[in-house]
Amino acid sequence: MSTQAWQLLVIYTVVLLALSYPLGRYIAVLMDGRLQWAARVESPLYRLCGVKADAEMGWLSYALAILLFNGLGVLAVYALQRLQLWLPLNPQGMANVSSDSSFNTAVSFATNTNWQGYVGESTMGYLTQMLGLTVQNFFSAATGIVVVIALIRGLARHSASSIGNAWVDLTRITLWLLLPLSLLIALIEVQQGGIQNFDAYQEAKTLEVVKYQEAKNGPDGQPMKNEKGEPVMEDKSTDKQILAMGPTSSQVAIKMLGTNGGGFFNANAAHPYENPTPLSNFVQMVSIFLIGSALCFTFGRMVGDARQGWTVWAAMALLFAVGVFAATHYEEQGNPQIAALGVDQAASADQPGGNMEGKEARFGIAQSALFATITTDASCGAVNSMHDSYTPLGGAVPLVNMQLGEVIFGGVGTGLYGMLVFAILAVFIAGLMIGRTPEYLGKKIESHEMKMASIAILVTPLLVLLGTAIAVMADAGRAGVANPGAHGFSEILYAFTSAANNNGSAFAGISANTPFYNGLLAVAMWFGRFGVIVPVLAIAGSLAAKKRLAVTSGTMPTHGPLFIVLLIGTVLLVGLLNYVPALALGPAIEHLMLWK
Amino acid sequence: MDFICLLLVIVFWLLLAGMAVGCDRLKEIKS
Repeated sequence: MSTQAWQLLVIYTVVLLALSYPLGRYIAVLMDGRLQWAARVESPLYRLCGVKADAEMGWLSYALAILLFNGLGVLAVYALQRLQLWLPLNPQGMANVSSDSSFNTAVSFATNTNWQGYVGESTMGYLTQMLGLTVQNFFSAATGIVVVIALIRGLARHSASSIGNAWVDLTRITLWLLLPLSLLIALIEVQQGGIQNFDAYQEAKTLEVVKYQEAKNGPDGQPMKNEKGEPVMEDKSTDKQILAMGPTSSQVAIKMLGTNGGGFFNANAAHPYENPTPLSNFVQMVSIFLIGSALCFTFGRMVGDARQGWTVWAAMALLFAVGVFAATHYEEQGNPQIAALGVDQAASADQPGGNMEGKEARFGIAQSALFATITTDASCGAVNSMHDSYTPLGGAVPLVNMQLGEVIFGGVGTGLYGMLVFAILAVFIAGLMIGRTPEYLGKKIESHEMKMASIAILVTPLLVLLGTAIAVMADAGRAGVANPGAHGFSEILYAFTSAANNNGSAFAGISANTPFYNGLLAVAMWFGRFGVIVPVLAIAGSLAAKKRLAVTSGTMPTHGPLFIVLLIGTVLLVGLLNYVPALALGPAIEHLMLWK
Repeated sequence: MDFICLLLVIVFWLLLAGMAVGCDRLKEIKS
């Protein structure tokens, strides 16, 4: 790994820690309801909505409220897409989105996945982007955060029958955490050159005529294919360029902060209007991890033992550093097949060197690999380089990051509750090894908690592997793959890994905007999200009801280096082993073929 | 097609609500 990449990693980690530590303490104060001024603003809202703010909920009521809230979100985003032609703020006159694509996108944004089968600038009107997609960016992020807060309350409380009030928690997180931070980040984005307007698209004349080929679409809007099954291409030329406009910066802010990742434009954070400068790139990378990192400290504070938060943070930080090292290392190696053509891939004063296919020259290897690692450690999925063009093992890093369950800082809330489920599993395994009843933070871990933890851990691999198997067996699944062989398999595996883990990034060589993929990936996104949230809340409810046991000499400490190693070992063993055969068929074979 | 999508949302929702109730019952059976 180059010196520049090391420097970037160190500076990034220091800035992240410096910002997230105080933020974590603030979130703890906020969620404990200790902000009096906030309560005064909230109370009229609760009265208006008929919410009894003082009435706490049991875990089942909490879960049903979360499901209801997000179910309504799906319907709202679906309706906005299907009706956008007749709605205001659509200067380009974007047509109503097809029903299968609308369904996929609605589920995608309600589940914090932001998988995008569509092209933003040629599909979505401004109202759909703002009222549908951006609003869901806020709500889905708030959902993840309140679920982990409920789990932390379950650990912190004892002999309690409730874990909080879902409506109050959602309101507080949205109003006093996500909105102010998003406003700040949006202003930084605009200052850096990001756009924020409601203008119609601009037409610019290019310096020279560009000739290109484009896939011909049939009457159904899908690419036409010849008798060999290849896309029918047509020659085109132009000296005009359409510059897409829109309220971009406001959406970029929450897409990063809320680890949503859905780009305003198709090129996402590689687009100069979405990510104009190195500083905006750095701010976006920090935004992705900011809340996930802060919640570790919130956890430590709310359970009354800051060491617990630091332990989880350290485990995450170590896994993160390994991922950055691996991705950067393999991308700096370059591509041997391109080297064989005599292309200079060495780093020099003139070029970053390495495998620059699919990367922005302005970001180079270091900022691209760091971004790719961050966005897949978290459930963000925004990209500033094309993951499909990474080297086989460089591209395996984002894939593995997601397959670990995105617990390395992770999605807002989801990362920490995923890691806490692994921590429960770790104390259970340790309990078996030393022959004692497992405990975590003074709570006995018994069969019910283990059943729920098992469901939470196994739902996602089941969806990924089953979905991938169905797609590689079905004609409709194979039809979407542009690259045959091992890489094509990786594209499908990546798509289902990304969907079921609610990431949203893609090995984008796959053509997934088809009824087959729109439907199947929506299933993966929905159950990958809420199929985990339900058992996590069940654990929260069960733990809250337990008595707290006193610490004795026989209690296994869940802080310090030993537990960090145990936690990392559990994440790697349990999280990764499910996927080893699939990884062997994809990135591993491709690597051996490339370097033969 | 819109009707099918609406139906799917309802079915998805009911499956998860059923899962939540099932998890709750599981706890009661244990105790």
